[in-house]
Amino acid sequence: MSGLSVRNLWKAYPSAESKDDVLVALEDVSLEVREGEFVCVLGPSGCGKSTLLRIAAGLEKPSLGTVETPSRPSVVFQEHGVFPWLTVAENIAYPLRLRRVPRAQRAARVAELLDLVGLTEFASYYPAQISGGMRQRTSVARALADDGSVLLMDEPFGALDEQTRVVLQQELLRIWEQTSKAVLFITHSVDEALTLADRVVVMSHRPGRIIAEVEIPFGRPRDIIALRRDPRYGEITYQLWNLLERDDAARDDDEEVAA
Amino acid sequence: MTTVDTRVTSDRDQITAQLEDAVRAERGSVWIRRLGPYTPVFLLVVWEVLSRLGVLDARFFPPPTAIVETFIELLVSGRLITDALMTLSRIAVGFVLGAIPGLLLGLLLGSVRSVRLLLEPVFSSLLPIPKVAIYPLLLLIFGLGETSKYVIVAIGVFFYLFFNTMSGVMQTPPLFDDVARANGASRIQRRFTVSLPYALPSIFTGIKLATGGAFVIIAASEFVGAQSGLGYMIWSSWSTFAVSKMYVGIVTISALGYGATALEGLLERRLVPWVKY
Ligand SMILES: Nc1ncnc2c1ncn2[C@@H]1O[C@H](COP(=O)(O)OP(=O)(O)O)[C@@H](O)[C@H]1O
Ligand SMILES: [Mg+2]
Repeated sequence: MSGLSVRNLWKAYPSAESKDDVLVALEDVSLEVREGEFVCVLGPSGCGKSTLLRIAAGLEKPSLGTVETPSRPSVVFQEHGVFPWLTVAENIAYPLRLRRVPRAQRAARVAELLDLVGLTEFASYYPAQISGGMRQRTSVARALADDGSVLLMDEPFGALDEQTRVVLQQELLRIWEQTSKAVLFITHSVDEALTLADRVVVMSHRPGRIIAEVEIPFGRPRDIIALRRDPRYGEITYQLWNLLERDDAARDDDEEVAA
Repeated sequence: MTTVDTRVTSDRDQITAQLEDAVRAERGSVWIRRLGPYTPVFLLVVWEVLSRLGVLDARFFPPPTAIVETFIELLVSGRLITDALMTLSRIAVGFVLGAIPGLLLGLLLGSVRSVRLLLEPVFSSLLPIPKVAIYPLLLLIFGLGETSKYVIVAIGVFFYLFFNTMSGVMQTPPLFDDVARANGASRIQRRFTVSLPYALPSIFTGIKLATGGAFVIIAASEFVGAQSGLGYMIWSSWSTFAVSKMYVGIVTISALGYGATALEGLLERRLVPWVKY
């Protein structure tokens, strides 16, 4: 059973400028995430990363191409994705409640997940009463409660301060390493991509195309702090930045031609 | 060294004193703040004196003590309680009959664009009709019994709940709907687990406005179409020139309305606990 398979995916939106025109957000994107694999999609802002994730999550339809998953994926959204009217525990229980999981079973599972993400003490707090980091832990725990075999994450730590982000990255790896989930993790941060991923998929500026796939050689389990002393860390950082910059330069040329 | 220290300290004391003065000046006079809560009592005393001296016409403004006397009489005879309960039960039944469809339709129109485009003009055009203006028609249809009162209150309440629920639902950030869909929520489940809780604060605003509206409507309806209730009590006092009794009716209605709104406030704090954070 494969994880996630995206084949020749295109997505266009109606253009805001002219009625006859369309805005191409994704151009012929193909990628594969195998069971138990952690793949990061790295690309500049506006290149269509969220669009890719929303299509993979079934929230939007592809214009062309296909997306296949063995079952409905679970999603961790960018910030503000937890319901402000539910407590931490209720947010985590949400997918179980939708499926009408019996109360006792639900409570037991939520307790496990609260423990896993270190929020047991905050079970009955509302999102407005906890920090941004805790809200994203809640979000992760909710996706784990939903328990799809594919986990989609859209810059879940993007709004956090650097220290909190590193702590959550390490925890995410610890939790994921105990599962066999296929993860598609979206980020605009070079550092985050190579810290987390088995493989980094680099996207170009809009229209988003895949310009490279980079294998990350670090093993598992990973210590993401110790990683930073590894000589390959600097090497891969340089390589990824180079890919992004070359794309940037190409775009500038295009614009000059257009002008 | 020591001299410098002293200077700094004395400066500090002086500045602290100045700061205290400044803060006090901003808060306003202590006297005025202490007196605030007693001004209504003071006005009642003035009213009493002026009425007894004949400066105020006691036929229209009987002294408050006379009103209290009438209040006690009506209370002891049981008349006041009967009328108040009558009015309250009409409001309660009418409220439920109007609030539930208002809430459900608000939820539907707020979340389904096509239905909204089709039906909203109907409700918007019915909204400005003064509800008491259709009371004669309701009396024709339902007769002088209780049903006509329930229906007029229900119609009034319906609009408050409907429009407040709809606007609350329409403001729901699309992200929350996405989260629900991504977790496998069906359409119906999304309405009740996302739109409804998101709109709850706005729904409670509707409930409070509807309560005020319901008292106005029921009082007006009881003026003409009833033989009981606080509205009837006020109206019949007018025709018999029992002005004190009229005041008792007015004060009782306002007290009941105030009590109802306070109860709703308590309910709101229980049902919408996340808003206070
Ligand atoms: N619903 C939409 N309607 C029109 N254009 C959209 C819509 N969603 C995204 N886009 C456009 O598609 C492009 C990619 O957006 P997005 O996927 O959010 O980028 P990213 O997540 O990489 O920053 C952007 O130019 C954006 O304006
Ligand atoms: Mg995005």
